[in-house]
Amino acid sequence: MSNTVSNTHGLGVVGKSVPKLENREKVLGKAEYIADIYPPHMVHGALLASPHAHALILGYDVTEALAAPGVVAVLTGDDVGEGRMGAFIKDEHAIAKHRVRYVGEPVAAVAAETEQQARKAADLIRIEYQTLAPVLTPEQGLAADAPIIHPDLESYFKVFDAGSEANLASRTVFDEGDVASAWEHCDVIVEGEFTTQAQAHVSIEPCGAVAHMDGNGRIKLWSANQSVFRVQANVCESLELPMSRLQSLTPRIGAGFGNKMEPHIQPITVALAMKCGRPVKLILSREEDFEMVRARHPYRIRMKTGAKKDGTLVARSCEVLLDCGAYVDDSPGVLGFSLLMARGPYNIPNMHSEGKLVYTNKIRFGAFRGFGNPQVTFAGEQQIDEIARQLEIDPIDLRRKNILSEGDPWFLGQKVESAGLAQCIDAVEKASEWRDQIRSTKTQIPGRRTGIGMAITAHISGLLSSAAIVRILEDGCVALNTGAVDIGQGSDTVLAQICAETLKVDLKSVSVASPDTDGSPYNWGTTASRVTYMTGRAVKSAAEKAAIKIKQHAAEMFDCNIEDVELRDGGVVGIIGTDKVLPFLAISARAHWAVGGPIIGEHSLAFERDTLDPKRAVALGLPFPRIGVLSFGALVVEVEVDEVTGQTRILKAWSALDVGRAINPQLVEVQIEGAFVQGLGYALFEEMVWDGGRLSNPTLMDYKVPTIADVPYDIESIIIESPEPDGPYGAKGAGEIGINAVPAAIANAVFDATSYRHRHLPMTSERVFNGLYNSQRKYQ
Amino acid sequence: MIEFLLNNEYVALDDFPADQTVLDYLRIHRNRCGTKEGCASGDCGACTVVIAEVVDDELRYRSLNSCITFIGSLHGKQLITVEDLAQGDELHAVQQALVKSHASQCGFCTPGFVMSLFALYKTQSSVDRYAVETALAGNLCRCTGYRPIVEAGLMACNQIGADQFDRCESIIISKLRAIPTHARAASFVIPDSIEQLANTMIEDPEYRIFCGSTDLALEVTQNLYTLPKLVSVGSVKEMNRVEQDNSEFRIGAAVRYEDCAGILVSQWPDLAEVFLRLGSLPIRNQGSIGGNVANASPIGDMPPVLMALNAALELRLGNEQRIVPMDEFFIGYKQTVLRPGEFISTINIPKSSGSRLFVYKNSKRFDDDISTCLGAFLIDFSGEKITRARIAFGGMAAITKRALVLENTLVNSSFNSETLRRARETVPLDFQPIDDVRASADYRIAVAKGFISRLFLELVRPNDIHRITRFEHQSMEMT
Ligand SMILES: Cc1cc2nc3c(=O)[nH]c(=O)nc-3n(C[C@@H](O)[C@@H](O)[C@H](O)COP(=O)(O)OP(=O)(O)OC[C@H]3O[C@@H](n4cnc5c(N)ncnc54)[C@H](O)[C@@H]3O)c2cc1C
Ligand code: FES
Ligand code: FES
Repeated sequence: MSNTVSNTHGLGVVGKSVPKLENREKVLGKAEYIADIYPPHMVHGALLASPHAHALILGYDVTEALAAPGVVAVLTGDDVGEGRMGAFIKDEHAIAKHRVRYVGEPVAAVAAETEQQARKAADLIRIEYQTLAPVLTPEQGLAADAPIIHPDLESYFKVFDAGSEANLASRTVFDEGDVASAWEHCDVIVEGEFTTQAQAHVSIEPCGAVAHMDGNGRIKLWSANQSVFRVQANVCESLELPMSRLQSLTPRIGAGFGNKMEPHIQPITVALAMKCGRPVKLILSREEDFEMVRARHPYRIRMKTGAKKDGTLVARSCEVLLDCGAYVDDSPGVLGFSLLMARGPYNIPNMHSEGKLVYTNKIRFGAFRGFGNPQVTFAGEQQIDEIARQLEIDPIDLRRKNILSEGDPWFLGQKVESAGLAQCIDAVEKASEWRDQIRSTKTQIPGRRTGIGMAITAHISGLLSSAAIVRILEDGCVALNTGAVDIGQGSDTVLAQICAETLKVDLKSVSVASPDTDGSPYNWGTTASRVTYMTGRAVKSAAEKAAIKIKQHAAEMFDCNIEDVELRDGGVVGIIGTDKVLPFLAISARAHWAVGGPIIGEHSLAFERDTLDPKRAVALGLPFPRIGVLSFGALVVEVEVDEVTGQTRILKAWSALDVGRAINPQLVEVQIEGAFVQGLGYALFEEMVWDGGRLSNPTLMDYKVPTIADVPYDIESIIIESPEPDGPYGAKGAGEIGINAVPAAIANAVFDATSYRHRHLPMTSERVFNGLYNSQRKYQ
Repeated sequence: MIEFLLNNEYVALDDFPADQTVLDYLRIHRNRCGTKEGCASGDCGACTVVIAEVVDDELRYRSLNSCITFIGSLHGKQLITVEDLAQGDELHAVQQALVKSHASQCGFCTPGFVMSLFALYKTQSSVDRYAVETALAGNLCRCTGYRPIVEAGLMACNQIGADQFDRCESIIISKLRAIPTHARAASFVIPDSIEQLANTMIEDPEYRIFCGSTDLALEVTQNLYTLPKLVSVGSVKEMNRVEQDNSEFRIGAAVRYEDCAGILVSQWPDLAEVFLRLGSLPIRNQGSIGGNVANASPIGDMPPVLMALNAALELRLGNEQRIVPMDEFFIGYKQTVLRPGEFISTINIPKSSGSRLFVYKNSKRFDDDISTCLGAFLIDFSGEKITRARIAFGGMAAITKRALVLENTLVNSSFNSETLRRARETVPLDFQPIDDVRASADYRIAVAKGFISRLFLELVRPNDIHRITRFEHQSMEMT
């Protein structure tokens, strides 16, 4: 179910729910993913994983493995140089070298004729280890006598002021106003410690890569990825190759959610392919995918929020401690972003947030839909609920009183240009019949309780750079090339819609190039909810530039001024006020064969708005100087709790998002619903559990994600359109925001049902059960 | 030689690794890459295919997880994969509906959903949301949030119209009928009589017996063991029957859940929820009660039920037969009284008419999840008084066990609050569970106590709905 509240009208293909371009291929089973690529003469790769959480590698004995049937090559840390990769801190080799830092870390790889032979041979590699004491929690990592995980940390290259020291990978501190003296002006203060768990991405497609070196020593690499360019950069950095030697390509991607943004096994696959001279294919098993890719950070959050009697929020402080695992990966960005979002979409004049990122001997934690926002929102939005209950103000009224609106500064100073937050709140309040619900939920069926809760959120879309090339083909069709990987969310379709709209051509006449580092313009990645907003801007500008050239040709052909011609629907240029037209075919033919050369429009951009206004706020260790524009959302959920088991089911959910402009409403809706369901699993039962350094549930039998039967019958998605001035047709991102508020809204609803405040995720049946029978006090 | 149809193509195989899965066969040997691998453990549904077999002169279509199905299990059947559905340019109705509903995002799960919906399309002519959910609960999608997929299911499976499979049905039936019911390949045997099975099992102890392989195949795909020789009970006539007389049901050990659930539920309505939540539809299409009992998992769902119902197992070793009560079958963690070469042939369940069976299951996720704790209560009462109680729990000890102290406490007591209090206190006397990934020992005890409270609530107020299940949502939806 959905409805759209729109502020803009009258466009062509933009705003229409056209089906995704590649739908047919997918229902036919013809979409080609990484595991479906079988190059001729290829060999299969298999990995040997570290059995130790922390150990020095003293030596390798690969003789038995090399002699095993079918084996073509064995790769160990001795085969790679000292090159290191990392988006923020370059701390990671292509494959473990000198030392292993988590159970499951790849230490060796084998290439053999069949997958089975490769897996068997991998088990024959003997490695001599000297085990070291592991660090299993960030608290342990910060202890004075903790074993040091990266002894050379100081010398690693860092892209920002990280303040690294011992096991502290980075620290960030933000301040605005004067928190220390603000508390005394508060009538009510709530304070609490919250923890959140590690969540696995569980893209249904496991990670994999296929690499091949040609006769000239150039390497072609296909992989499951969210950015062919990040793959290229990571492989080249870690293997010390010039970028000119590596071509990075993409098949269809079986979803990402962040786990395929930074490298997984691409560097190892390339190193193996270089070693054996034949194409190598390496596909992770589900278990390996759980154990060696990356996951959502577990958080420990201390938060304190104060308000006046009338509900005006006065101050908040937030301290977070993040486990980044063995390598920092995107963690400094996640930490910084959490701290930037910890104030929530509110005007709180006094705000302090700080956090530490600590190395441990676990799998690296990294980007995952929401990027640190769901964790702080879980804490912050529960504190808003607590304050509302203490002051006996309706939680919606309290929020409404304090939210940001257009023109207000975000925490640290960036101005909010478009804010549909108030509309989002109105929409979910109305759709959920909030006031009636509040009164009526307490009707009791023996053995069951129901409750209702809400949470609001904001998110960014932006970051770094994108580009687009729009070419008019000989017959007037349009070739769009952006380098942005469509990981299933439908960006190819959306970008084609933007392109078609701008050139006023039929969507069918636009082709979208598959990203390829040899031929596509740079795109940082499909991440940070940025493709529609950032790459969309590039596409719109590139198409506009192509349009100018088209009109120039037409004007010359009509022998009139460029001001006298206009684009008309269907790929034609007409003289304004007449019915004289020229099709793109004629114009492009002229360009190709007679005058001027092929028509190409191109545009490059980098996100340009500063996050920090030094006049308002101070920041230490800010990992990103310019982050993005803001989207907003509000969510209401209704839950039911079984008194015997504590099992919680979501009965209904209403989720409203301000996405600026829905280029394709259906695709936005699926983002809202998909994010909600992923958040539901995170809130209620998804959790990676370790036994010492070893992950105890690396299978889908033991790690459960929501099925069709866990999903409420009614998830109502409501699209609010408050256009972003520089967004393409007003659009901003929608990919991540839908997950942020889910754990908080569910926790607020569970409180409503059971009078117990859950500060620890996930809210398993066991925890809800215990809460139900331990909650004596009305407010905690 | 094993023989089957790959869609319309006749295939005969003799020399193949016994433990090769259908998924590997399709992807590696047949270059049919539409069927995907997401977990190789039966948990994601990306590998779903459809099997058609002749039942009562018709073709019956069922969804299976190809990742945990051995290739030899295809003998005598038609295998249909996502590549077979469209005809030329024309998509099958289920594919069309998925496109129309925008039900594919990254698309990696899509072939699996296509096939699960195809099986539903072929088996039911009108479906509600509940039926769609039941058919799809074993297919994970991490992108869409499922709503568009449900819509596609409702759209496709409520339309009538013959597809190409209907048109070819009689040809397929005759091709399948031409295949003998028993078969022997280099290292894979499919006997069709209990004698042949018993002989194979004693002649060559290397043969591993299996039925649905929903448990056994995990040894291959998860533990990377090799199973050099396999014998399937899928065609053994005597073990595939469901029989009953006035006093008992006799369920062949090879009978699949889906083939006995209906009859058992009509006797004991509480089993409906157990079957609904036991694995997913493909697992229930394939898995057998015999396999569930033989694998001796302390968290299997059927053993506590069978124990409460006082079932007995008929075992067979060579020509020798014996009957062992369920109570005595398990002797330790994953250990049973089965001797080498011995197997379960039949499960006999007394009807105990007059008694009521109550079953409660708790798992982390509602559907398709292994139990944290499952309690089965067979209760006789006269007036307000309990006259007989047989109670067994799974997930509370290293084996499935009776709750004897609890039984003694209940018998000859009335269901009042004093009995309830005493009954709840027996749980730690009967069981000392352990902490594991699924739950802590304390929680298991608390839930077991909660089950007892629920039992009382349901005895006292039988007409209220106290449990959170999917059934009531269905009834809400239909009213
Ligand atoms: C995704 C998934 C979900 C599941 N969910 C559940 C659940 O919710 N509840 C639950 O209880 N179980 C669950 N299971 C376990 C499931 O495998 C069993 O319930 C099923 O009944 C096993 O039957 P099978 O015929 O497939 O056994 P098989 O795998 O064929 O055999 C299992 C074992 O029993 C032996 N065996 C089989 N038949 C006989 C016989 N006649 N005599 C002697 N030995 C025999 C085999 O050698 C093997 O060791 C699940 C499994 C999967 C993969
Ligand atoms: S691959 Fe996941 S169920 Fe078969
Ligand atoms: S569409 Fe991606 S998993 Fe379903």
